[in-house]
Amino acid sequence: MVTFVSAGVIGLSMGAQYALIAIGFTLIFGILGVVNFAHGGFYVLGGYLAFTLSHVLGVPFVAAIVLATIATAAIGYVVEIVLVEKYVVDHLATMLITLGFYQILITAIVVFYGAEPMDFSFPITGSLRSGGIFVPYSNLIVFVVCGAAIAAVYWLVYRTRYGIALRAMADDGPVARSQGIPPATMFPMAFAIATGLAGLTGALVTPMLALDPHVGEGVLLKAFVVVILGGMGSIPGAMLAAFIVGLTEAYASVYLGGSKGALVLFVLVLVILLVRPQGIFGTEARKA
Amino acid sequence: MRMPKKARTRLTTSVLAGSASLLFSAAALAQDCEVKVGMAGPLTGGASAWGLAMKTSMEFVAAKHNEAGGLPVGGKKCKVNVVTVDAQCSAAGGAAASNYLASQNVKILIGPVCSPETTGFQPLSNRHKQIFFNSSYKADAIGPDWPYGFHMHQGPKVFGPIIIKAGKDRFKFNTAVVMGPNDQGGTDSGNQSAAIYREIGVKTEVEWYQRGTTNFGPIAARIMAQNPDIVELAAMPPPDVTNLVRQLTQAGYNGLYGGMGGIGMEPVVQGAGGVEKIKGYFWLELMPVEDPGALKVREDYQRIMKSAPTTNAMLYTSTFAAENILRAVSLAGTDSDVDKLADVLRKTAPESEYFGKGCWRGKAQYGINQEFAFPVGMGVIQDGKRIGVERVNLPCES
Amino acid sequence: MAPDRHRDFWLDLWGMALLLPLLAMPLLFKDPFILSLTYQFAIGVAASLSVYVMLRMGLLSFTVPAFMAVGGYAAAMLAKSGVTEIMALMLASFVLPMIFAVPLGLLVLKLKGLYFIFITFIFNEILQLIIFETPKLTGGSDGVVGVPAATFLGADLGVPWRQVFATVAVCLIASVIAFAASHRYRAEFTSIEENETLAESLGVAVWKYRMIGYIVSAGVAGLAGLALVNMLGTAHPSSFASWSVNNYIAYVFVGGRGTVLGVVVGSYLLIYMTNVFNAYAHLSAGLFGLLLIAVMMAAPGGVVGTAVKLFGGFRADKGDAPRPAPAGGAA
Repeated sequence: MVTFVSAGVIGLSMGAQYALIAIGFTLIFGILGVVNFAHGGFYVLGGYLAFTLSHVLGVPFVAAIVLATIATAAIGYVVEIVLVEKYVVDHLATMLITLGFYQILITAIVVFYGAEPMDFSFPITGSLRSGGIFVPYSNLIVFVVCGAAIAAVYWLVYRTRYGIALRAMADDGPVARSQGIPPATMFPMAFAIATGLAGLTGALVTPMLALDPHVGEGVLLKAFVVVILGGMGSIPGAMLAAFIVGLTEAYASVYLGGSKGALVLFVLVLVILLVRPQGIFGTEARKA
Repeated sequence: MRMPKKARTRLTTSVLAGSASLLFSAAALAQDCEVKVGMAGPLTGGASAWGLAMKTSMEFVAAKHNEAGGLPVGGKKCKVNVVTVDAQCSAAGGAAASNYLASQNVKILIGPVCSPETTGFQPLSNRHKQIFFNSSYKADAIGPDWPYGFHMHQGPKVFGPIIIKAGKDRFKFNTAVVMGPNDQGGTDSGNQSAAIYREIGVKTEVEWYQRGTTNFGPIAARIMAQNPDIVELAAMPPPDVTNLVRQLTQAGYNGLYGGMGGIGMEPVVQGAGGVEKIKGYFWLELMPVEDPGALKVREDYQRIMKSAPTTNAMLYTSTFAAENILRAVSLAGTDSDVDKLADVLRKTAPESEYFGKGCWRGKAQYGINQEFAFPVGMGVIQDGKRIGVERVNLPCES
Repeated sequence: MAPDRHRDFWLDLWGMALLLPLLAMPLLFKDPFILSLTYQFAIGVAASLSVYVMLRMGLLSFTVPAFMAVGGYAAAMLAKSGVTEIMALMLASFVLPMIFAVPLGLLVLKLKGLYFIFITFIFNEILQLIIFETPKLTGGSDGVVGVPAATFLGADLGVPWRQVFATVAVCLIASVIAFAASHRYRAEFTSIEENETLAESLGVAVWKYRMIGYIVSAGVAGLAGLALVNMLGTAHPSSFASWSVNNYIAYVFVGGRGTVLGVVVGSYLLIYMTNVFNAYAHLSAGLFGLLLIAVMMAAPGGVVGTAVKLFGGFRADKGDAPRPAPAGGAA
């Protein structure tokens, strides 16, 4: 029983983390039609920036996370303008371009920080305990921040003029353009928000897990799983799928072990997609 | 062993600058002769920390000789050049690395590191006649099939029984969970370690996790449910160890840790949030890291390479292997006559400026006497205190 | 840019012709690096042609490593059991992946775009896990090692030059199959790529041709897997890692996704550069990334695609045709 509840708690907290990373990924795809292979790289970058600010330069942890988020967003903005913007109509080209950028980014991190893991830890330790069931404080904090960030994105996309314009671009680019919505400012901004979210996730989560240059690969794969399962481009879909993936991974790993658990997760995703090929909340598949 | 973070951060940058300047000085100096040695291993991707540590160690030993005017070879002083190649931790990468080094006329090298790389490299080493010092934990890391294959350090089968037994005597555990990622790098070391725990009467479960797992929370919950006395971290790479130990600590795990994978102390201490939070941990150091020789390696590295040495445990074993490779070249008077080089290696006891004399072993386990037998270290943390790293002598065979 | 069928056919033929020199390499050279490049070229071309066949229908398939593994493991197990005749091995590693492709195709071929990409990628992950969980059958994480050298009508192919020659020959056969299939069904594939709904309404059995393409693609990948196993003497899970498909896709896109020539040029260029970069230690991944970005930005249609565009424009200038509009977006 204790194990069952613990697995649930862990699954929920992983779900929140997956949601945060996946929303950015799905936002970029939904609006730009770009599969951002560098998304895991921005997660790693967020982690390293937060680490440098808090552990090397002595900036308070909260400020370090905010600054890391802003910095990854700014870098995302520039990357969109310089590398992605011109090729945005060609989904396959942007896939390779972002893959190339990812490799350059990770190489740069290895050059500056080395390949060894960093000693990056969350400032608050300990767990809330009751009868063998535990919830680490760090997980609670991440859960709250994830919730707030998700709410903020939701508000931005569904309740602001900017969000309406973004969604118009996502639904039908040419029509939105003819309505006077300028893609030149919309695209980089959307990209920046998404990479900022990846950076925020990295800054928050890597001190709870581990930080080395290669932690982004597993994260990208998870984001991919979540986004496809939820329906490419759908924010509510990504949120729901994130929790499905988090809970499945938690229960399967706890009861079957890590390797078999991964197999169960992949097979489950496969089955869901075969029943519902457009994902849970997806409408029609966007041609890529 | 904790280093100032800034120094560590700058490490690779300066290593890079160092190797670049080495290249330029090579062109400028144009000594009357040159010897080539190689390094193959994972230089990119998840396992690159090990490969890069080996690379910089090889470069360090080469730079040390070059600083002293060159390596004495047949009456001349020769400049040592290191040719490195990324073997990408795969069988195909290992094979490609062997081919590349052969075309560069490199006949003696350290590496490969990963088990798959070694699998790909071994058969080609016969064809190209390449002496290689691999550091994998493969069950057949060396063997009569590959006469030019040497082993940089022992596998769990050698040090495991001694260290795990000593650990059991000290901590009295009866149940264990052995961890490893689900690929060859994980299973090689994990299965060997598990067998040793079982041999001394410890009830042992093996847990394989998906390579690339980002969150060890569920695995920690699973281990908590099994409630073992000790978690053996075997073949887990350092970031995974930190991640798992963090989750276990948060889950309230109050048991022991074992570290037979050669990762040292740091990843566990990082994960637990300090030495004082660890009830008990004993681990293998591939070299006795508190011996004066080990400290001297770090000092010399800092002086010659003008940067801090890596914190990776491979530093010492690779330095040792590199020293012996260059020593063999010097004694044999050649860097290209492979049979002569292999003969010199087999006939002379390995020796290091830093760690003294060693010997060869491997006949009983692998059927070939081509593994360095050298003291290793056993580190212990008990009841929140670091007890230290003790020298453990390993038997020679000859 | 309207597809020019006649020109594309010649470009494809040129691509095939560019493969022929590979056969001569093991006869002419002894340098291990050149021979290493030769077999990597051959295997890379075969694997990326497997991607190319599906791309003719606008589907980007990530299953290539999985099918390579099926073919490679089949050959390794067969050779271990004593059947070393290369013709038999080729038959097995061509047919078995095709058989696997039928049920998988039934499952996934109704998907499009990223869903198709993703599902086919998941197959690789699942296959890796299955290999790990079945050590008795597949050797698990150790793979099948000590695979005996193949033979050809009794002649041993274990001698280095023969081994490379056999590898190249296997890949050439795979390439010819991919080339033949993509031309035999060119009209159908193209109509599916350009407008599936229209194709369907015009009576093209879209489903049928997708299945044919998928099966051929699987067989071609299987042969590439055999070539790799034959070269390494081991069927190892690391040879068929999921991410390796990124390389094959990059070969196709960097060279030019529209023609066999593009696939061949892309494979040669990237494999050669990867081997050069591998000597630059930890910088190699970054250098590869830079190259990817540089080519994709400078030549979005790939090297061959862009060259054709420039050359085509040049020819049009000379004739009476009006000057074409400046190159816009890709594809």
